[in-house]
Amino acid sequence: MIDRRSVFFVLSAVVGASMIPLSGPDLRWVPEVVAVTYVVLAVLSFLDYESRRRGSLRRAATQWRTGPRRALRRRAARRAAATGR
Amino acid sequence: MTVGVVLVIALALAFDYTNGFHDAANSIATVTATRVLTPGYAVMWAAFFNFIAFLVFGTEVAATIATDVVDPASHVLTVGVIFAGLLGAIGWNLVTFYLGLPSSSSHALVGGMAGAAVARAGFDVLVPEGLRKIGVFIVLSPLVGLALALIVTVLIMWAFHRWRRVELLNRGFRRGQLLSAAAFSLGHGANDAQKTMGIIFALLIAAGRATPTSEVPLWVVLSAHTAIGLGTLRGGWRIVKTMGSKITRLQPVGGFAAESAAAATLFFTSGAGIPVSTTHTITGAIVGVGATRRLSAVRWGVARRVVVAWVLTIPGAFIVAFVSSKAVELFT
Repeated sequence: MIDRRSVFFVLSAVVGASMIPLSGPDLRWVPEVVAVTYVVLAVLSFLDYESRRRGSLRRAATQWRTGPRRALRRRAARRAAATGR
Repeated sequence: MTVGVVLVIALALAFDYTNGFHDAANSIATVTATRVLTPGYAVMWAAFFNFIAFLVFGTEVAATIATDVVDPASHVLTVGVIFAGLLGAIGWNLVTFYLGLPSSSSHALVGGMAGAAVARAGFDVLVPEGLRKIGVFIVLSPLVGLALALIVTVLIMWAFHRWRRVELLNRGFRRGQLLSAAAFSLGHGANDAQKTMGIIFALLIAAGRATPTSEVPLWVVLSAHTAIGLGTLRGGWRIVKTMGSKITRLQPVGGFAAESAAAATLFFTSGAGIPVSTTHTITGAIVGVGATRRLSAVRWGVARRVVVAWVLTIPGAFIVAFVSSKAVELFT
């Protein structure tokens, strides 16, 4: 799994950077700023994606740890209900 | 002024009218998609700000169109060539309008002028620096719009994420959208009306009524803004639908961010004398707003269709104008 948004921003940065040699000297700063901005956006997007992924991994790990215990409790409750106790 | 010059000026103004008609969607798509204004009021709002743009901006874009696409010193820009260039641009605009594709009228115009001139005197009459500047900003303008819209949206989210009264916030941004739509219409009027001014200015140079260094006459400025304002009043609903709802679903805050970002981009490019596509810019900005949620919030199929239309516009208008220019040459 990769962060598609980061990849999109990296590609946009590459496109922006490829415009630098084509620009005239008076407006060269525009593609430079665009390329740098997209690199920063790509890094921030990747960090956002990673923090979300780790958050969901942590939740999954907690569920994995508590999951069997819950399942045992549910099975015991069902048995108790079936035997009428 | 000869009858031919007057007729081509009328055709240029007709092109400006179709430009307003075609691009009205860009100015009002987000404001109608978020139901801030009814379509009728939205077009009036946009047309008014299209018209008054001449009070705010200069004529740098007009000078770029008149002198930086085809070399005025080559004397290839005759009345017939400008007529053929306009035919190419209008023809291409009508094709994309019929197909409901938000292509760029501006690039149709650049492609048309280049195609008509090349048909007469070959590729040597084109100005490489001018075309390179226009080409670079064909690519950069949607990227700038996208990044700015994304940054504005994130800043707004940071500023208001603890705000509990969402309805009040939405109401605030609905009002803000009136301002952002006005700013965008101002930018649209400034950049797009100037392209027609540039064509008329080139025509006046060809007719010996102006020199490349003289100022664009006031009557040219006023007539171009009037034509684009009237075109916007008529509106183009097929494209409104594509821009307003098919690319991504917008809330008032997103509409505000997209229009503000696109307006800022247009203000900068108009000031720097760079003819950019308002369609490219607002589409990039709308995608930027969608990308703050996740990339899958953007309907990439529609965005791809838009990109295809962009890629085809300059060659398409170039070919139509090339053929028109050859036909005009036969009859003159």
